[in-house]
Amino acid sequence: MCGEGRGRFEGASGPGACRPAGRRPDQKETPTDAQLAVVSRTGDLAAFEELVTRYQRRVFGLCYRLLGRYHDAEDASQEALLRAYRSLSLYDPTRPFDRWLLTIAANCCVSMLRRRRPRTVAVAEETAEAGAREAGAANVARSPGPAEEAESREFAQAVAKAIAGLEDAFRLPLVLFHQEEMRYEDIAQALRLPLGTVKSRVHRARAQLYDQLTRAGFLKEGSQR
Amino acid sequence: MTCTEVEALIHKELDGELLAGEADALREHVGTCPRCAGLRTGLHKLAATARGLAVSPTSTPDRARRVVERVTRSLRRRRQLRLALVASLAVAAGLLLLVLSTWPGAPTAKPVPPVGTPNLVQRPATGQRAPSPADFVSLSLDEGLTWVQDAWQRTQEEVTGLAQAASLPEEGAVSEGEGSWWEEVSATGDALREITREVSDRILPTEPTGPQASQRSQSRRPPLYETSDEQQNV
Repeated sequence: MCGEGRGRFEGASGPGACRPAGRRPDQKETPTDAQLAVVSRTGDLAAFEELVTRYQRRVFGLCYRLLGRYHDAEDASQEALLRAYRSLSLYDPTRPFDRWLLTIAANCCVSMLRRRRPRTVAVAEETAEAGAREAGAANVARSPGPAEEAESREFAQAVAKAIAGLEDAFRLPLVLFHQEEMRYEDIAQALRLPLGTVKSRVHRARAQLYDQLTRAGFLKEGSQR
Repeated sequence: MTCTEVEALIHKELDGELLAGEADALREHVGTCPRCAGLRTGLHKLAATARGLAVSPTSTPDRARRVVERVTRSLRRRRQLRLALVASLAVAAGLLLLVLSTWPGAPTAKPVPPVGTPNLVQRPATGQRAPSPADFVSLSLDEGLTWVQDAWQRTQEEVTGLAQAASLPEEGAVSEGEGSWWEEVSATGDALREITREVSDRILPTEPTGPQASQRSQSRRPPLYETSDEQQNV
């Protein structure tokens, strides 16, 4: 029976809450995110620390992509984790914890962007260049030839720069959808926008990028309108 | 199907929301329209590149670790502040209770006779001033009345006991006169009754109305121990 012999993480539900069949009793089980979240609700800082350790990189990465500054990303990710801890009572353990946490993080970034002065191109390009370097390196691994390598790196840099140049209203939904791979529903919740608006903005952001990159000669011309 | 409609389908395809029938229509259109085919290829390449642009946070492990430390430190500090707040409130509540318990006129668990209250067991000396009813108004109504009633009860019991121990005659058999036992006992009793009335009148917020109230006001008498001269003149 699932309820027997469980200890610290017995309050959690969802997949992984019970010991899988076939596992030896002496084998140490890894608590699921939902289990850790439920235990953290009781004030167990060690359990929450485990969750932070699991997700701090993703949270920091999201904040950095949205904010473009290391310092701001640190502040936002810290704020997001604190906000998550304070809101643990609202977390539904049947839902994926990472989606819930990333929604909070995106929301923190949006709040910070609203407080911040208008974003400068230099700051945005810092993120773009960093991303483009990594994207180029990743593409190089897949592209054997030096010509393809150069082309791929150049295209990645152009895309990163074009994304960085978008208005926040379009850049944020696009980054959350394509880079963070968040669902439209979660993006709408994080940005506090209607679902239809989020979809429309992502589509328009893509169209703008396509136009820009086509004009710059990186893409073959197609019909946009 | 127009190119505009196809463009919408391409976006739906990138969103992962394309239905089976729509997928067929899209494939059919791009097979015959090079511009839409170019758009589709370009947007897919764009999306794939954007996905690959993700900045790897693993390049900043120190920063990430610092975030964890700051979060846990902040949480611990919050907890300490909460504990400090609870402790402060507990101390404040204790001080408040202490102040209330020592406040003049504050209710006490056991009524303490005010200063100047006569020792009712002792016989008042002839001509000695009796306690003023004002001495009792610092007590609450219930406490004052209870104290007076208890004192009166104790006085009666002790006087009766003393009289029996001294083999004194019954009340009616004793000639009334200044300095006799029963005169003083009676005077003390009257004073206590008067004090009870005074305490009730001063503390009770409203006077009862009706025939009982008028009867009560009529039955009020001046205190017997108001002055020793008055007593001597009686």
